[in-house]
Amino acid sequence: MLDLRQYTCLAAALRDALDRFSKEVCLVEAERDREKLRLTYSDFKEVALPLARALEDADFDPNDRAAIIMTNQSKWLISAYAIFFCGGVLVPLDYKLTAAEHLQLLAHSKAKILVVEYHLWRAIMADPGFQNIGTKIVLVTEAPLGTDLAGAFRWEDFKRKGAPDFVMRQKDDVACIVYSSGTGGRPKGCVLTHENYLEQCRSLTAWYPFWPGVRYLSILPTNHAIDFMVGFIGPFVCGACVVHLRTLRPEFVRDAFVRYPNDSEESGARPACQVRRASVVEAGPAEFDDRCKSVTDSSTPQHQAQPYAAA
Amino acid sequence: MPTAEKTLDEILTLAAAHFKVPREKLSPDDDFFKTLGIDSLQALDLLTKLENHFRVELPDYELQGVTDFRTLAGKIQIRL
Repeated sequence: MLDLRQYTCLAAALRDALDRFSKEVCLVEAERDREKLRLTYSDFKEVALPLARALEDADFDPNDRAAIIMTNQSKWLISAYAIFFCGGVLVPLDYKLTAAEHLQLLAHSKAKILVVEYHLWRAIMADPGFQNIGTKIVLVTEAPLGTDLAGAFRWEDFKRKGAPDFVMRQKDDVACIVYSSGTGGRPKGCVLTHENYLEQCRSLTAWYPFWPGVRYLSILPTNHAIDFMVGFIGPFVCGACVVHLRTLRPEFVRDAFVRYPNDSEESGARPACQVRRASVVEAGPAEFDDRCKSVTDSSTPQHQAQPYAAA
Repeated sequence: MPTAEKTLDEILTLAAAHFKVPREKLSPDDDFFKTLGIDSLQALDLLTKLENHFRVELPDYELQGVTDFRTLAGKIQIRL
């Protein structure tokens, strides 16, 4: 893994990780039993830098804030890296909040950019408070072509050629503003510096090291402090792989644990296009118990494990 | 294609059988979490059963905030 003591910001550590582990797989994304995407660290960089350049060209400046409202998926991590690359402050918002709550937090955080999934953007557009949205640029992922996005851009089209300028941040610069859930009152924006994250990452990887070949199954929402660290920063600075499932149905989560890659003799599928067994996962106690039960309970009909289809 | 009413009726019957609840105790506008006494993971289990029955796939996000049988039936009906 990288020696994090030599870095002053997350973007610098991630940038080095993308180069150092360039040939390793960093992200796998599956829709049920179908693999949709597989990226190496090198691929990740190729997707993220044109986005960073487009953000810079759109006057996204260092210290500007950018919010993300997305379920666990590759574009969450790619967008976050691009935002950090530009020196921006990330505002990860909980996708499970209502549209009205999203609008309140967008206003409170003063986010200049929003990256959001299409179905969530539809809900935000339908909210009465949408007319007052102050976010300057909205990037919508997975929006069908030709759909009216009310001035937002399709994430997939928002890219520019040319190398973006890397913006180095210092340890005490703000990296993220993370809103609490509000269970104890009004949600509070917790301001976290790059040093906070780098130290947390050093502690995490000292206790729970990752390495190339380890596959981490990301289940807790990535806006959550734990998955952000354990399902993004930690694995990346160690060259490990993060697996995203676009559904959290128990049978598919269970399969992600038990599924081993089949060799290429079956249906000609390339081994490089199969999800390998997940090694690590984080979960709350009740959820973990339930997952264990679903794996061990012999009365549960076993979902037939099949090789993941080629992307 | 089955009618919306038939889809709804089949959902109620399947839910009753799956969770061993008398069919007559379930109504279209019931909150299925309360009526069936289930949690979110059990609801996902039911959903998988319904998907297999109707041969459709419902993305998780489509079901965010769906708590009653009638709305669930509507989500399935538009995919039949």
